[in-house]
Amino acid sequence: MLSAMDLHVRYGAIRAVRGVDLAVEEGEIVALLGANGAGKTSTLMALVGLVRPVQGEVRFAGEVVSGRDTEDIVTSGMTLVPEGRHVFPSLTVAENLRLGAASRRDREAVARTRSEVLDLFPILAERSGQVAGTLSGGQQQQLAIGRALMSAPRLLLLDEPSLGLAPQVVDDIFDLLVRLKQRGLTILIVEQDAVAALDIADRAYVIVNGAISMQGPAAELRASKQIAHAYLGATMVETGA
Amino acid sequence: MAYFLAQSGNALSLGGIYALLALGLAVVYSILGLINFAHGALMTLAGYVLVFAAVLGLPFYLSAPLAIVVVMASAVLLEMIAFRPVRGASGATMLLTSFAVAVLLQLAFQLFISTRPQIVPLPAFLTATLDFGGFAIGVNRVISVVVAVVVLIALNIFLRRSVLGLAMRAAADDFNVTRLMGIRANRVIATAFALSGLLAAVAAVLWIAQRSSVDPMMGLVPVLKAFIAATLGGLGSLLGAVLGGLLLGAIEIYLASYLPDAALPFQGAITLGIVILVLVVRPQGLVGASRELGK
Repeated sequence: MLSAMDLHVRYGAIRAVRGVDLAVEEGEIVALLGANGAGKTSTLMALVGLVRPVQGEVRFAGEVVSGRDTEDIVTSGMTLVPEGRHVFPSLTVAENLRLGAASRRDREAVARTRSEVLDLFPILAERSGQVAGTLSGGQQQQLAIGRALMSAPRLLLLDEPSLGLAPQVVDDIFDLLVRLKQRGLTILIVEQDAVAALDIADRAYVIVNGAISMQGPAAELRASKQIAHAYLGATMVETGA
Repeated sequence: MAYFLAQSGNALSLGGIYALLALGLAVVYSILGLINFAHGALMTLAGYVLVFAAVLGLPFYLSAPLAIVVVMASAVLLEMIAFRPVRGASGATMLLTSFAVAVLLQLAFQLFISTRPQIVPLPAFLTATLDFGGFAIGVNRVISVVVAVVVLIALNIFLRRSVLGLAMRAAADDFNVTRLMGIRANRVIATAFALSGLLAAVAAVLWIAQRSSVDPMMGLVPVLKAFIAATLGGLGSLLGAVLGGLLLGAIEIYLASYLPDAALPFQGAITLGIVILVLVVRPQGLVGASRELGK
C-alpha cells in the first residue's frame, strides 16, 4: 500500500533521513521505532509531503506521491496524526472534526464517518462545543485521531501518540488502534515506546541515525527486545540526544 | 448631552472604520505573520476606482461594489506577485516587502494619476444630516456605523459556519496541520487577502463618504492608526482588532471634543500616550493570546 525507497531528507546541512526503505502492506500495523532525533518524524513528514525529500521515492496505492502537495496526498487517502497532537486549540471539538472532513464532498458519507468517530470516542460527543485547547492531553489525542479519521483514510500515520500521556490513556489509545486495524485501516506508527508499539504491531523497523538498521516481524523484534533496547540505548549515547 | 451623543456617534463611526482596517491587517497577520502596510494603498486604490467610475458615469450604488471587487482582486494578485515569493521568510523580510509594495503603489498613483487630491462625487443623501430631537449626526456617519456592524457580523458568521472560514481560523492556529486536513494552503491565504481587500475597500468607501476626495497618500494615516488599533487590541486577534479600533476611535474623538483649546495640539500625543499606557499594563494587548482568530 505504501512504500518508500531510498528516502533522504535534509534540513540545510543536517541530513535527518539518509536512505530509508520501508513498506506497509494493506491491513497491517507497522511500527517505526527509534530514539529521539533518529529521523522518525522527518520520515513521516516526507511521506505526507510536509517536507520535500531531496532524494528517493514514495508510492502510495500504486502511485508516486513524493513531490506532490500534502493537500493532494491527504485527499488521496493517507493522513498523519502529528506529534504533540496539534488539535486546533481555538476551535471547538465539533469544528475540529468538521475540518478533518474538509477534503470530502459526500455529506452523507461524512455524517456516517462522524457518527462512527463519535461512537469510538464518546467523550468527543460530550465535549462537542468545547474549545479544543481546554481538553486534557488524552482527550486531545482522541480528538486528533478522530479528526484524522474524518478524512476516511485508508492509511493512518501516527507520530508518537503516547507522548506525554498517562500509561492508562496510552493503553486505551493502543487498544483503539487495534480495533481500527480490525475494521480494515492500515496503520504506520512512530513510537519511542518500543515495547508498547511492538505489542500491537505486525512488523517493525528500527531507525538509527536516519537509516533503517533492523526490521522484521514484531514478534521477532520483541523476542530480541534486549537487543533492540540496547540498540536504542546505544543510539541515544551516540547522538547525545 | 446632545453634544455628547453626537460625538459618540462620531466615535463609533471613526472607530468602526479603524476596526474594519485593523481587522483586515489582523486576518492576514494571524495566518502569515505578515503586517501588510500595503493595506493603505489598497484603500487608496478603492478611492481611485470610485473616481474613475464617476468619470464613466456610474452611480454610487454601482461604483462602491465595483471598488470592493477591484480591491479584493488586487489584494489576491498582490499576494501572488509580491508576498508568495517571501512566504515563510522572516517577519522583517515580509514587513519590508509590504513597505516596498506600498511605496510602489503610491508612486504609481502619483505618476499615472495625480499628486493632487481628486474629487469623489457623492450622492446627495450621504451629505445630509439626521436630527434626533436635539442631536444631529451626518447620514454618512450613521451609514458608516451600520455598515461596519453588518460587515463584522457577516465576517463572524463566515468564520464560524463555512469550512473555508473554519480553515482560516485553523490556519491561524497551525498552518501545516491545516494542510493535513486536505485544505489547500494557497486557497486559505488567497481568501485571507480577499477578505482583507474587502475590509480595506469598505473602510475606504466609508472614509471617503466623509471626505469626498482621494489622494495618493489617503490610505497611509488610517492604516497606521489601524496598526496601532490592532496592536492595542492584541496583534493577530480578530476580536482584539475590533475592540482596539473602536477604542482608538473613541479616544481620538472624545479628546478632540473635550480637550481645552490650549491642549488640542497635543491630542495625537495624548492618544498615543494612552495607547502606550495600555500596552505597558497589557503588553499582549486587550485580548490576551496573540495568535487566535475569531474568538
